[in-house]
Amino acid sequence: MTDEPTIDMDDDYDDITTPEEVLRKMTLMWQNELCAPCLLPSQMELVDILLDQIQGMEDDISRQRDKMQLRISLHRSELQRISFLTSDYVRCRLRKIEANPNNVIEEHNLRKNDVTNPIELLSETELKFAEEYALAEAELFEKTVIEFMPVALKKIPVPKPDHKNDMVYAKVLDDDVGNVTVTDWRDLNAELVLEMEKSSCHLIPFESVKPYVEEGKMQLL
Amino acid sequence: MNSNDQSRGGVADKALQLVLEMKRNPDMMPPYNTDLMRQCQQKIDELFQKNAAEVQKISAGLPHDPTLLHPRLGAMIHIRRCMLAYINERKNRIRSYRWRYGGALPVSVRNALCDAEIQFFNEYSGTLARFQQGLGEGGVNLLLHTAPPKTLFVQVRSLEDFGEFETMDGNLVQLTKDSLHSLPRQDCEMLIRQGVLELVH
Repeated sequence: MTDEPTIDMDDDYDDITTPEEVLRKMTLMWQNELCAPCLLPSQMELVDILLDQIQGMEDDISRQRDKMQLRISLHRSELQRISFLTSDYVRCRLRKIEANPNNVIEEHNLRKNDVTNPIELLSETELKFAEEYALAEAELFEKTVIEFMPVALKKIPVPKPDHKNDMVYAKVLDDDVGNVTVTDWRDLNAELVLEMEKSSCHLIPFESVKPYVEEGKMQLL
Repeated sequence: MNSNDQSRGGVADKALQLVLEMKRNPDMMPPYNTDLMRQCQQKIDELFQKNAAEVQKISAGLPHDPTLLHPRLGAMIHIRRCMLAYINERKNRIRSYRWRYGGALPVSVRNALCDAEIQFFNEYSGTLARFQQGLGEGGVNLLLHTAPPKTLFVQVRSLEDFGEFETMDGNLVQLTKDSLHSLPRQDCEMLIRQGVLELVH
């Protein structure tokens, strides 16, 4: 990956300045999303930036006359990699949404209305997808099974995903993560405190590191 | 008495058959079993009526036997659960077909679905298409780029007479049966999945 594509950036994105930075963050978020047991906050703006860049690069390449140049091939390969990255990220999120659309929507609303730290779990398009999908699914069940049930049996219990016991391998990327608490199973009122040194790796309950993973301060392995 | 028991079978046998049917055919879509589904519904209805009659006796103060109320309810819930599991598993497979074949279902699969399922497929298909349209400026085809790319071009063999095929960079390729080609990876991904092309290693 020595040949980073040189991409000109729009001015709108102040907090992330270089394309390399966007790509680095996208890679990190993609990896976290793949390894996390639940849906992480949406990074669709990164995807949008990259898609925009891919389009721009493809236009640049198609303007080149000599298509057999090594430079062009390398750029093409890089483009393919970025395309795979973004597509796979989106696919992974869709899979998680499809697994339990109603639960995801509920959590999205909960976190969006959180006063102290509002976070958008889903992007606008993802929310729309989740809603439409939930509707289609409900209709299927209604038409095949529930319609024929006696009234008392029409309500179906849907299991809630429980991530309390999910363990993850996490690597610390940032200096100021500090200490992380883990529930002590020998005494349920007590908590163990673990020190998170930079670039150390831990096998740790996902719940303990979730906020850091969402901020990109930790990487799931 | 014994033979009678055997012919009667368990109360949820039919429901179990539904689940087993899916389990025994993990690679294909068995036809929607309207018959079994109906029998399950009837079983639930029957159990429900029996319970209702029993409850009526209780409220009327007549002699009654409440021992079977709860087992019947349990049986109803169990049968319902099997039915839902059946539908759920079929739903997941229908979803995977959308990712494999795109918006058009092969006839063999389509024939195995019931009306509600076909409708679900169409809605899912539309939802996914709208979502893909909403990505970026011109939309993204999420069905492409399914594997980490190693090379730009892949060697493929055509398995059928597909005819002319235009690649992204504008070259025309004639795909005849058993012909070998070197094509850009993203162009032939869909064709490989549909079984028109095959990777040559």
